[in-house]
Amino acid sequence: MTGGKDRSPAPQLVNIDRLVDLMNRRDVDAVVASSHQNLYYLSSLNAVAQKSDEPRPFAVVISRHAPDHPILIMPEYYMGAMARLGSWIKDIRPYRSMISPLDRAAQKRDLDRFVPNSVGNAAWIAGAREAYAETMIASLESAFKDLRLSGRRIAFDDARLGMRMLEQVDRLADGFGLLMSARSVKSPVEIEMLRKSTAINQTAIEATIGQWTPGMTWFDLTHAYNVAATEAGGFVHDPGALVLASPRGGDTSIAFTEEFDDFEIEPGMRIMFDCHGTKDLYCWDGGKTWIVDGQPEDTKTPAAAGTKNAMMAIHEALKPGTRVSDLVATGRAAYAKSGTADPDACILFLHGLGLSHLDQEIGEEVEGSATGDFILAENMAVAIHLLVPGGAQHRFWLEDIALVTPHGADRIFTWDLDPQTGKTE
Amino acid sequence: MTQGRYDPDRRFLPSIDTDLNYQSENLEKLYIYWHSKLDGREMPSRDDLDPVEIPSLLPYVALIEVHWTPRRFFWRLIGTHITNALGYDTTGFYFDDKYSGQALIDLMAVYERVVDRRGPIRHFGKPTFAEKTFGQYESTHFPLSDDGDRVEMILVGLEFLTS
Repeated sequence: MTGGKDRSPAPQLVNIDRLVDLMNRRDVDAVVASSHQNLYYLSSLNAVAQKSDEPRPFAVVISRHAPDHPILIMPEYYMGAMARLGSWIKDIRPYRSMISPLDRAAQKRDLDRFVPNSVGNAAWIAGAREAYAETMIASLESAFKDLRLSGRRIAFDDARLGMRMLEQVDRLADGFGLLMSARSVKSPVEIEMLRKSTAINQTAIEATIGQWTPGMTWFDLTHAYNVAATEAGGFVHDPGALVLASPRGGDTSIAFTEEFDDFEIEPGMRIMFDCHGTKDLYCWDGGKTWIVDGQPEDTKTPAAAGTKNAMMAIHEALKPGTRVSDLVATGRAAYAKSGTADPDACILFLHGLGLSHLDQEIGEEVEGSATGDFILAENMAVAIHLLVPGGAQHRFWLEDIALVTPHGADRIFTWDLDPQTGKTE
Repeated sequence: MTQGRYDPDRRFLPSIDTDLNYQSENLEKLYIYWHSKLDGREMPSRDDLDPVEIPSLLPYVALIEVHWTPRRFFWRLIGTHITNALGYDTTGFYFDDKYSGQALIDLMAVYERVVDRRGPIRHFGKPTFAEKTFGQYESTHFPLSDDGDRVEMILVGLEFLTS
């Protein structure tokens, strides 16, 4: 920060006119977001949690009548984060937090304890001092008044916060679903975030495969991936990044990794890389099959060819207006045409991707409980999963990430659709 | 837009049309909307506009703050037709955060003309400033004022055309 000039903020993530359009269609006058991902989506401010296991007590208020005047409410101790990281939101309203002493009467100048010297005379700080409130609820009430939202229909992504504001609103609406729907279509900045995040996953998978030596176990592999992803600048989450299990022998079950004991990774096994993690809160997902110590002919089997052909057919059809169930049928037909043994047994499913592994509003169902037969829109990001079930030496897996465009898929991974064999091509 | 070899430092030199001979229906609708808010004044204020009244136009709209002393322009809001075409989003930035030299001088001149004229100006030309390829673009800059005298914001309508 120099010469009183505002620091350049993090670029805006939110697709603001899509959000306003959704509010119009649902007769929602404003949205109040206080969940972690939605706060970031609306404010671009990714401040560290006061405790790593707690949500950040922030709120962003955006009115459909004044989308150019969003308001960001935050505890006073995040003033430094705002100064350091910035936000496209300029109306910053701090409130007295748990850090301020309870045995002293609150005073306006208390805020100055939390204002770093680097803030200088940035434009937002004067407004923040003026708006300094006793509590988060008081700050929200003030924001509602200034945006003329009192008595209007307001969507909250956290029902508990909405219940606290009942006296101020006419009716509560579902802000969680609203923002999931807004987030399903990606802005240019988000697309760039997804590319960075996916690049970390791709790098980490390739680095992990490159570390294989006989005797390496599944737990070793998982650890190698976690380290590689972290070294590449990403974050993985407890209990680990590798999600899909790769059962031994003739076990054909579809399961997650924690359901199995450790085992040695042997030549000929098909290890299914389905990895989760985040970079700047944007998720990565997916991966491909690694044929351990594989040979070129292993990549030409009907299962491998069918999976590649099914993915290519889905890519071609990944256009606005297409329904997900039609994509699944398209992929299955490609499996059948490719001579895959039992195409009806193949698993094909899709979901959104972005700040979550969903980023889609699933109609009347509970988000996350169902994949959802949604209709594609331009610039949606989708994770496409294809699985030919089978035992350790026969199954085949491919998960690709792509954007929906009028010309079909715009892939996010930069590698090809063939399996990994551990050999340098 | 000047013809000849492309000079990236001179990418903000649009052709100017104060008669508002629109090709874009969206921009014409935006003009009608802006005009409907005049109520006998030279310019409406930001508070006279409600995005709810123009939902289909929002992707084509940007809102720019005019700071007078020192003179700076600030991107307050940018629609997604614009950000998708540009390939980036400058919401929350000042012009001088993103541009410098002759490009900044030319870009500011486009907005200064609207501040000085206190009336809408249509611009058009080849969009050499966009990441994606388009044949033409058309824009209109509409002044907004709270006191009816000093321009405090500029409402921009911008459409990239494929032919």
